Amino acid sequence: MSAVRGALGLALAVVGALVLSAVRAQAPPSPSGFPGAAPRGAPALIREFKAEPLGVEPGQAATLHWEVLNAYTVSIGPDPGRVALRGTGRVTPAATTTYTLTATGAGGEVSRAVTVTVRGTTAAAPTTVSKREPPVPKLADGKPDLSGLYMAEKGVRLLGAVQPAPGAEKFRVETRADDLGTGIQCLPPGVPAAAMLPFPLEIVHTPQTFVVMYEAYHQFRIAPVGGEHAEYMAPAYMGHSVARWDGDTLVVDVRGFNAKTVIAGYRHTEDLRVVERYRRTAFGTIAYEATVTDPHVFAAPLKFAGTLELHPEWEIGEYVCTENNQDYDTLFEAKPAPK
Amino acid sequence: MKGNVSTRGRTPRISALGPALCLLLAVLGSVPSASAHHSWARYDSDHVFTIEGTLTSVDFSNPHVVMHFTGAADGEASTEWTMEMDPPTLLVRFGLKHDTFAAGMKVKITGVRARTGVPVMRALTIETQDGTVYRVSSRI
Repeated sequence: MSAVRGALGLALAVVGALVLSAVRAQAPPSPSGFPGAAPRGAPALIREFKAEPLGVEPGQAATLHWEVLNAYTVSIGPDPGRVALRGTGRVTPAATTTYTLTATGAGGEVSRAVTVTVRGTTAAAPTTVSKREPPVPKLADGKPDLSGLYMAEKGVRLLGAVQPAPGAEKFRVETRADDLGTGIQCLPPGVPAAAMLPFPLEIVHTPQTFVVMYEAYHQFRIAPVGGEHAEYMAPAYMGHSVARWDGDTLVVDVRGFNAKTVIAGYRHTEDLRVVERYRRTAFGTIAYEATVTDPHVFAAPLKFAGTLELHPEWEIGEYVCTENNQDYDTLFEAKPAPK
Repeated sequence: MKGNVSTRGRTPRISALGPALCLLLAVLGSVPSASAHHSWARYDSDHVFTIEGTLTSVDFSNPHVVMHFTGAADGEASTEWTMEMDPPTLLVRFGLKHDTFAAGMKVKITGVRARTGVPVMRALTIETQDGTVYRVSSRI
């Protein structure tokens, strides 16, 4: 796997929260009763952004140092561009240059500038990172290369309402007001739920194989491109995947599920089928769609859609769900706090 | 600790946050797709409150980072609290390190409390004594 990743040249990346952006726009102004934190989330904070030295001779390099908190995206312009939350980078400006760090998080955007003076040169106008994106990369066979680390920062959502099939009431998941959900057992969430969690995923793509690795629950799926489903597939949480091209859209057909996951509030049968469509609409984005059918449960297909956003500066982290899985029933039944 | 917060019932409420954030939390809490590992259903997302305390333990582990602290909610005696946050991978992407917090640190925590009234909370932000506010939840 590491060899494939290296060959594809997009090894790292990711994260973010789901579902938030539409509601963020409606958030109230900063609360007077809570100094230091904005209502829409902790604001991005630039703890450090400096250059050493601030003045250089022509041809001499300076080093940028930065550290940012509470941001999804950090960029430094005119270079090095997209960067991690903290780091250092050497720059060799041809003329006096102002470098601007811009950090974007749930609480908005902040920026800070530092100027590196090159002796004997004229200051260039301050600039931020270029908005121009590279073209969509191609695989050896000329098809779009979907490789990269992505996060559905704005969520993958169900479009429209569920139309239950006649008699599907028995599949409806009864939830109590304090229900913790099915994830409490640390079991795989299924498809497309794995792409709907507030964790990144990494795609590794070759002309022959399409691999999706999810940070959440450390699940992965391997879909042979042009492959066919086996005659027998042992029922599985994440199903069995094969992929094919429809123009520049990669279509992944997922079947062979067990009946142990929940989709849109309903359990399903082993006749569940999910058809995903991945289309790299730009260097930094993939349009993702999933169509879910189960004739025993849904009278009409369920449609899910969202945008996967590229985060080349992230890496998939270790998520070992069972590490410290709490006994939540006991936790919440403890004695009330003393008066 | 008190000062700027008003109280309603046993849980202090930041009135200026208004219904928008509470609605946001309530809506998100009801969206299974946004939940990892477990939902927020056992927390009272209608009431965001702030509490100060001193950390007594830090467990930077999956599926949720858990810390304990000693503090007093408005109108209550000081007691030992349990505080949940997002998983380590998400916190790291917000800029935290595994050793950002340590036992003995004084902190100001904003979050939501268990509906049962037990001293258990889900933190949204944590402010340290130098005034730095750390985001510890992907839901805000």
